[in-house]
Amino acid sequence: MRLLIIIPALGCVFAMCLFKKPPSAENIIAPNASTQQNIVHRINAIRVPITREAVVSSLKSDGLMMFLQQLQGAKAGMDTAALKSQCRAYLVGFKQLPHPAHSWSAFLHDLFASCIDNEFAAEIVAMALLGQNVLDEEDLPMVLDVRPINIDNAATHRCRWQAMLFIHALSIVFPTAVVNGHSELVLPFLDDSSSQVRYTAFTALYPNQSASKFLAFSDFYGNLAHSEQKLLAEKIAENYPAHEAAQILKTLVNQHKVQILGAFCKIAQRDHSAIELLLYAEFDIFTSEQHSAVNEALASRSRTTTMLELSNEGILRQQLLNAYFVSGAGENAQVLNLSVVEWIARLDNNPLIKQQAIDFLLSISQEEGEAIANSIMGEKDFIIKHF
Amino acid sequence: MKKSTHLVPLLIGAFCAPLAAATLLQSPGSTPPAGKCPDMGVQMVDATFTPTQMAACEFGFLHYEGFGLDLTWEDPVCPLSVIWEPAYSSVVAKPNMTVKHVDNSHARMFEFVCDKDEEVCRHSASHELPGFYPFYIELPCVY
Repeated sequence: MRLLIIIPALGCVFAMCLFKKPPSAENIIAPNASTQQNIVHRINAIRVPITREAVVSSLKSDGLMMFLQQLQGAKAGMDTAALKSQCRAYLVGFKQLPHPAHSWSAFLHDLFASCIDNEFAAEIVAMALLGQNVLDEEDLPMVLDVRPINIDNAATHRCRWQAMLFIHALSIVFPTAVVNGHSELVLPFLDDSSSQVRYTAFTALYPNQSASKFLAFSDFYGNLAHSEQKLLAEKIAENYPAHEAAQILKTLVNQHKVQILGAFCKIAQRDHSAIELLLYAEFDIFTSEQHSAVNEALASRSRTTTMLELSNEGILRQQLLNAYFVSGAGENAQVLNLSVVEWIARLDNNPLIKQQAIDFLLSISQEEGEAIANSIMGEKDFIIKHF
Repeated sequence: MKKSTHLVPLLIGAFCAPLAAATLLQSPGSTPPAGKCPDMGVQMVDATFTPTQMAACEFGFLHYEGFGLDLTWEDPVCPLSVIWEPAYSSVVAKPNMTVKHVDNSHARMFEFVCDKDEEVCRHSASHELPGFYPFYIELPCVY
């Protein structure tokens, strides 16, 4: 019944459009009778009501022009959330309309052009663009036009949203280019001056890299900024089988001394046995090899150097212990096997790690953990070496 | 519904450590150590947060403030746990410089629950994690 009302209503709307000057000569081309029907059909096929309404509204009035004008400058009382929704509706809706009744590419160019040196517009468009696969490799020159002067330190250059828009747009264009067989357009960006751009190009070019091949990119990983190292580690933690991901991350930490706790936590929450296995392996390998290294560090006259060496020596175990802790807390807490932590607390030669394992046992909020910790600390030969 | 980290719009951070670091780096009042110069300086790594469990309540617009942390969540997804890692010093090669250890700080885990009656994502608990994040300052070497 509702459709019976909507379809004639839309027909009237477009009939009116024929007699009315279009809001933007650049953006809207007057349709003929057959394309009108096509448009009505396409609009009705848009499933999301808010998108459908926004598209209809933009065609029957000068809504689109008003929207583009609003992007030109922030004014008091402007509802940015509404503008983001409107922009998202346009991006989704116009893409679905048949060309040439509405010029999608002219709209896109107007939209991106309004973001050049314009933080307000860039915020609206960047957020509206999130997750919308509406660009392809042909849009790359248009996207490059909105590249701000600085991306990795955008906040200090007051172009944070322009940088975000640029990266969001690239993260749509690059994978599409690769899927369409144009990887050559993306490859040069692996050497870009911006770590965020390099990361975006890498994830587009190598989305399903096998674990063995991934390690060939270890140097590339080492040259990323810490924020992108974290993102890539989290991607690995989410996309690879848990035990495989754990092995890759272990190698990256050992090679680059990087803090990627969030990634280890993601693995632990998927399958905490992967972290448990690494803790066992760490314990077996390091307790036999670490003795002289730790003693040498402790004998050092400089407290700073000692701290530095002990920290570097324990950077992997520290993250594994934390991730193990996290998997045993919260709504989806898993039952932890505290014996491996007990071994570390009892036998690890690195006083920082030993202390961490004791702290872990005390803070795990389980009677068993507290009992083990108290028992270890009560032993006559228990000493945490000072440094 | 799982979301990758980069889709999470904003962390408006209010972190004390980077400010302290900026003040302390090359503090003019510090006494430079004597002896062989290790040619090491520091680079501050920003504090970060990582949602490790998302989902469950899809209405969870969130604003959480506490422990020097100010989180704003625009997506209608509730993060059930967030790991916050404090800013820390990464030691890097730097000619004629040496480093001095000042302090360690710790990561924290923040837990949230879905409050279906209020239709919000509500903070429920937080834990300090045992792992330490070292904080160094750098000083010029004196020969």
